[in-house]
Parts: sequence; C-alpha cells; structure tokens
Amino acid sequence: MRLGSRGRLRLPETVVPVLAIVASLVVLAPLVQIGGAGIAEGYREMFKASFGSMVGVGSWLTSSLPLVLVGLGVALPYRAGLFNVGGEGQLLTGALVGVYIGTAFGGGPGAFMLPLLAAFGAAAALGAVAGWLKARGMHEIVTTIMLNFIAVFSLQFLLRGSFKDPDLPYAASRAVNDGFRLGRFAGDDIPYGIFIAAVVVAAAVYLADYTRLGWRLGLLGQSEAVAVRQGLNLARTRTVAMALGGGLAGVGGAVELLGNQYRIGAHFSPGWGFTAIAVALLARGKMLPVLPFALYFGFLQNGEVRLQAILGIPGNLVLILVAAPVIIVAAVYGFRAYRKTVMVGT
Amino acid sequence: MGAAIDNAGPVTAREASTLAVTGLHKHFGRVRANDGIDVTFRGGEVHALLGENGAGKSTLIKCLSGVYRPDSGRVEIDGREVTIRDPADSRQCGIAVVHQSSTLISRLTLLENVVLQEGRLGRIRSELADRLVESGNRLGFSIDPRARVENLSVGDLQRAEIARAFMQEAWLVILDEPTAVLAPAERASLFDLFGSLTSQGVGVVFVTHHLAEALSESSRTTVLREGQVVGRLEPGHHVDEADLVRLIVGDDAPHPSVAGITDGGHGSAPHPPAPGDEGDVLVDVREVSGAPLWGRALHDLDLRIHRGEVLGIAGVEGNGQRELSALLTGSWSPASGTVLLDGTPLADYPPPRRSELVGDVPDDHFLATCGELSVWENLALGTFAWQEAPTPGRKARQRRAAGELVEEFDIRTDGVGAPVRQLSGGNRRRVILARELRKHPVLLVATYPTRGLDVRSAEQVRSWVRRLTDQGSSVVYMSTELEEIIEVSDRVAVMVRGRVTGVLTEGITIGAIGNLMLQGT
Repeated sequence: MRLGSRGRLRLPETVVPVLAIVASLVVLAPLVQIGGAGIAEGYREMFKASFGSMVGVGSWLTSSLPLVLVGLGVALPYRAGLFNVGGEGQLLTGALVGVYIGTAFGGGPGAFMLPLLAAFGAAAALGAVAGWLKARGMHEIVTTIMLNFIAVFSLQFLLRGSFKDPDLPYAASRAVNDGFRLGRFAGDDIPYGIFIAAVVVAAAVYLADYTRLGWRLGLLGQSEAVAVRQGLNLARTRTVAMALGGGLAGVGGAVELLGNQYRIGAHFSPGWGFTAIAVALLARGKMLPVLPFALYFGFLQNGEVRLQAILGIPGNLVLILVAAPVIIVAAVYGFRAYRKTVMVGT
Repeated sequence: MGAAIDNAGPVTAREASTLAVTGLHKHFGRVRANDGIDVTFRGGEVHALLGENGAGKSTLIKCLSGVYRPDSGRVEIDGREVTIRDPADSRQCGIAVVHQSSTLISRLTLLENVVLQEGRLGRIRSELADRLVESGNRLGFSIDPRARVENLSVGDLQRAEIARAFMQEAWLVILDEPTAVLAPAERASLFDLFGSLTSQGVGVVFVTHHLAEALSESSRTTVLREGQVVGRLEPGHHVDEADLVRLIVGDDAPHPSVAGITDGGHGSAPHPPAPGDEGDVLVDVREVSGAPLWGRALHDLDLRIHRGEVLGIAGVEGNGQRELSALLTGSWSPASGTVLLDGTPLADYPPPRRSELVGDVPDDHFLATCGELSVWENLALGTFAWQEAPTPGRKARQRRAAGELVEEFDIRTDGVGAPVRQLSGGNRRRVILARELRKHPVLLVATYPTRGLDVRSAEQVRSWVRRLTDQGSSVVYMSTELEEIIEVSDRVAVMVRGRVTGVLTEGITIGAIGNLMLQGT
C-alpha cells in the first residue's frame, strides 16, 4: 500500500466562525418549518425586523450595543487566557451605578460621561476581584459565576427597598434624568450610544494590538510559563485583564440604561453577559471581530420578537442560532487541538 | 482499517529482524524535512543516526513512530509492507520510541502515564509500577512511579521516557538523542544496555551529536543532510571524526574546533587566565536558600560572577540548574538570601530593565518560546512586552530584523511568519539564542545552550558566548558536558543537589570537577 500525499484544505482562521454561522442557519431551517412557518418567510421576517425600516435599524443597533461592549469585556480577558463568565454581573453593576448617578443628579451637556466612567470603575472593581482571587488559586470561572449571583441579588435587594420608584406598581428604579440620557438621532431612531461603542471598540483595539500591556496580555494567554520567564507579574497582569474586561462590560450596562431602558428592573438584561461569551469565543479573543459577531447576535435577538409576534414561532428557536455556531466552532478547534496534540506528540 | 499490518500475522517482538525504509518523503510547507530517505535498521545491531539540526533525523523517527504520516514512501518489516498511522500502529510493529521532547502528560504521575499508554484497564497498576521500576533498574536509574511528571527535571523525564519505552515488547528501540541529558556514568550504563539488548536480537537506533559516541557504540551509521542520506558506514568501514564531520556538514571547510570538543581536551583547554576572586563582581548571590513551587531546593548558595567571565556550572542535570537559572533571571525569588546585580537587588529592577540586562536561555524551549506564535513574534517577545509598543511600523521593523536574525543564526524555517512549533528542537533553541544574544545582555544565563545542537552549531554558540564576554558581559554557562564546560569557562562551579560544592579557578580538569561532583553525594 502506498502512502498518498495528503492535500488537506486549510481555511483562514476567520472563516471558521462565519461558516459555523451559515451552518447554524441551515440547521435551524427545518425547525422553523416544524414551528409552522416557511423557511424563507421566517428569515425574511427576521431580516425585516432589523432592516425593514429606520425604526428597525435603531432597535437592531440598540440590542447590539450591550453585546458589543460586554463582548469586548469577555474577549479582552480571553486574550490573557482568562474566561470571564462574569459579564452579566459586571454589566448589571455598571447599569446599576449608571442609573444611580443618572437618577441622583440633574445632569447636563456632556454629563453622561460621569455615569459611564463610574460604571466602568465599579464593574472593573468587580472584575478585579475575580482576577485577584485567580492569583490566589481560585478559578475565574467559578468566581465570576458567584459574583454574578452577588450582583443579581444585590440588585433585587435594592429594588425592593430604597432604590425602587415608589410610584411604580412593580420593582424598578426611577428613570434616569433627561440630563444624563444618551438620546437618539436621525428621526429619533438611531442611538447615540453607537458613537460611544465606536470609541470603546477603537480603544480596545488600540489597547490589545498596539500597546505593550496588550502584548503582555496576549503573551500570558499564549503561555504562562513563557510569561513568567519574561518577567510578568502573573497576579497583577491577571487582575488588570479582569478589571479591564469587567469595566468594558460595565460600560455596556450603563449605555443600555442611559440610552434605552432608563429604569433598571430585576430582569433588564436578556442575558447579554452570556451571549457575549458566544461573541467573544467566535471572535477568538480578538477585539475587532467582536463588532460583527455582536451585531449578528443583536440582529438575531431583534428578530426574535418579530418571529414570535408575526409568525407565531417560538422565539427561543433563535437561541439555537446563538448556540449552534459556538458549538460548531468549539468542535472544530477542539478537533484541531486534538490532532495537533497527536501530531506533535507533546 | 484498524490493522497496522497488511498481512494478517502480527510482527511480534523477537521475530522481526529488519525494518527497511525506501523513498520516504515528508514536507512541511517548502521545507523538505525528509526528501527520499532509504535506510535499513536491523535487529541485533546498534545504528547511529547523525546529521545537523534540521537534517531530518527527528522527522524520520516521527514517521516511524506514527507521530507524522509520511507524504510518500514505503516501510517494510521483514519484507512485508506496513502502514504506520499512529503511535499504536508503531508499537504493534514492535517499535519503541523515546522522543527528544517528552510525550508524558505533565499533570499525571509516571505510573498514570504508563497506564494511559498501555490503554488496558485490566492491567493491575502495581504490576505496571513494578515493571517500570524494574525497567529503570535495568537501566541503572531509580524511578519513582508515583512522581508527578511536572515535578521532574528534563533529565529525570527523559530517563523515565527511556524506562517506559524499554517496558514494551519491542524488537527495535529508537532513541532521539538519548545521551544529551545523561551524566557520563549513566551514559555508560545506557551503552551497556544497548549491548545486552542487541545480544538478545533487539535493534537499537539512536540519534546523537557526539561523533565519538557514534563511532564507538554503533556498528552502522547513517548520516543525513537536508533530508537525504549522504553517508552510510557499514561494519568494517573505517572512518575518523573528521570524515564524519565532512559528511554531516557537507563542505570541506575546516572545523578546527571539532577536534577540541570531541576528543575532550582534558585539562588543556586554551582559555585565558581566569580572573581571581577579587575581580570586578557583576552578580553577587548571597546565602540563597529555598525552593520554587515547581522545583528542588537550593541550599546556602553563594556565587560571585565577575564581569567579562564565563562561569561554568557543571553537574548532573536536575541538581538545581533550572532553579539557579530562574533565580539569576529574576523569574523566581527565593525564600531567603539575595541576588545583587551590579550592587542592586535583582528584584528591585523593574521588569523592562531586568529583561534588557539579563539574557535568559532556559533549559526547556517551552519556557522561552510560544509554539503558536510565529518566529518573528517570538524573536520580538520581550521587546514588545517591555521596551516598545507593538505599533504596525515597529512590527514591520521587527519582522525585517527577524529576517536578518534568521540568516545570521541560521534558523531553518519556512519563513519568519511560520509558527515556532513547526521548527525542530535545535532551531527553536536558535530562536531563543538569537533573541537573547541580540539584546547584548550584561548577564547571559545559558542553561544547556547547545543541547540538541549539532557540532557546528554548538561551536557557533560557544563563539557567540565568547564574543559576548569580549564585550565585557558575563555568562553563566550550565552544561552536563564536562569537556564543553572546560572549553568555554573561565571558572567552573559544581552543583550537586542544590548546593555549590566548589568553585575551580585554575586546574580545571575533568578529574577536579569529578571530585567536586562526588563531594555533594
């Protein structure tokens, strides 16, 4: 038997997540069919939800903004080899702090910077706790999940007491004062938050790809052993990575509250912190790819409601579209890593 | 397609007697690692494989052990063609392989690794443990099957690997540079073992860079260069080391140093008079004791390194060299004692400054290079972490600079953008050397810097070290090769079990070093 030469197709790294998304759309099609609507019809309605009108575009961007920011907040620590599952809690902390400042003071032109910065700081502190604990041997996945619970229940506690708007029949805070609201433009459809997101994305790209700190984070993500030999202080670098990640996620929460919901309720987040993990994984810890993937998931989330309202298809089906690409990508990389282990033999 | 052997009858341990490889090709991108190799290995013989770094020795072994699949070529055992798809196929063919870098899982104990490889749950652990220990004893090693792999030094690890490979029923044992990490006594006992294996009909194939070893221990020798067989020495051929060097290197340029290394210039090494102990001290290690989490303890370590000298550290691997290198490069701070660099505690230097001043060539390339990063990124690793921000302009400059370093240090790679994991062990080491030497550090801490390098490259490394000291820098040069230590060092300190048992300033001979090595035991 002769050993033939192997012509193996090698795909550029960025293509894998995109193909995974296409594959997930194909996978969902029969389920939409079972749900009682035509495939074409289903996707057309989803498309219309985001691109059918300016209102649609505005609502698509609004749903995407937290995903962009929390996505960065997961992707940045991921770069340093840390898995930030605490995006939800950090988002919530940022939102809470943003709303607190937005309701406690009057505000004015440019005042929105104050709650955003405070949200960054508070959520960064929360992230830093996980980084600090990591240095003491507690895994960041465990600690960030626990910190999520702390954030969620703290919010619920506050909403039952002093933080609740007494004029409301349900548990939600007072509305953010006009002087802090981010507002919308182009016929009151497009959120100004997109500029904030653009600035933050640019800053994150700059930090990750153009600074020594960003290089050190990437080095730590590549090899802890090499990082130590290069003189990195593991505890400090990890704390910084988690703090930055938490801060970015916190800004995501504040932008949502100051630009869209204004009042914080116990269930104001549809799980952005967790969808953001999918975003960051597909972006493979790189900053710029977070943007398209967040916009795609924002598009799905935006279409979900319409799918349910107009076609009567359970909106939860859309969750499959969020999960499937991640599973596919994880499987592809997992398989590659396995092959590599076998081939290199180390 | 589970069967490794095309014809039904399995080739078992003692039956087979020849393994013939014909026309074996294996390419990585544009690099032709194996370019039509023909070679025959026989049972009952010791066969040495020689060649420069990147000549294709490791690739050939990995093809035979099922780590790589060849692009084309035939492998026959006793005239029957076999297909080796994975390591299990290779083992089934009666081939046992000890790789250059460890194939053990670091989180597990040795015994657990063996259980994993045996892959049979029915086996009783204690029986395997006994067999592992026994296999080690036959080799003259003592092995603790319950030791965690991550706690072992490279030397212990390779000994464990050899013991594990010898546990298998095999008619052919292939070792990729088995002697590189062994002390002379252990080496001798390994060669004794070769003898007893061949007398039982087992074939031994080993890669080495020690020409004397190849000449004295093997009955056949095959020399590879650039993926091809360029020389075969059959029993009865008579050659000397100079002939071998010409075959290996492939040109007739004189290599005056080669004789100096391989004949072991006992005590007559031509080095300049060593500076006295009152010389200008660059590094002052005072009463350092303690153990890093991952290593062994250092005890009351006192060492002074003078400006412009090479301080050799002799000793069997695993006696504190890795810990000493972590100490001197500042990546580990001991429980007690101080390390002064130029009068200031090493720990007080900010990391950017420290990385500028101290060059670090650790014993294991996994401590210094990231496999997934490209060659040029690995060359710029510390620069971008501490010295300059990785802007696009600077990245382009580093990439160009990397191209020059690849030329200067003769790094065999498929371009500076190729991930380092594709490089052979010797070339990965050159990447590290290139990066650390380019910094012109005032102190270079080199742990086994020539390990895995061929004769010519090793000589290059020593000349780079010399150039560095000529410029006033100091070098701590750790090696297990006493001849090498003697050749390169101005003074020699001997380490045994985490202690310095003595420092030789003059009269540096193998005998003197040997005495100091015995003192600590």
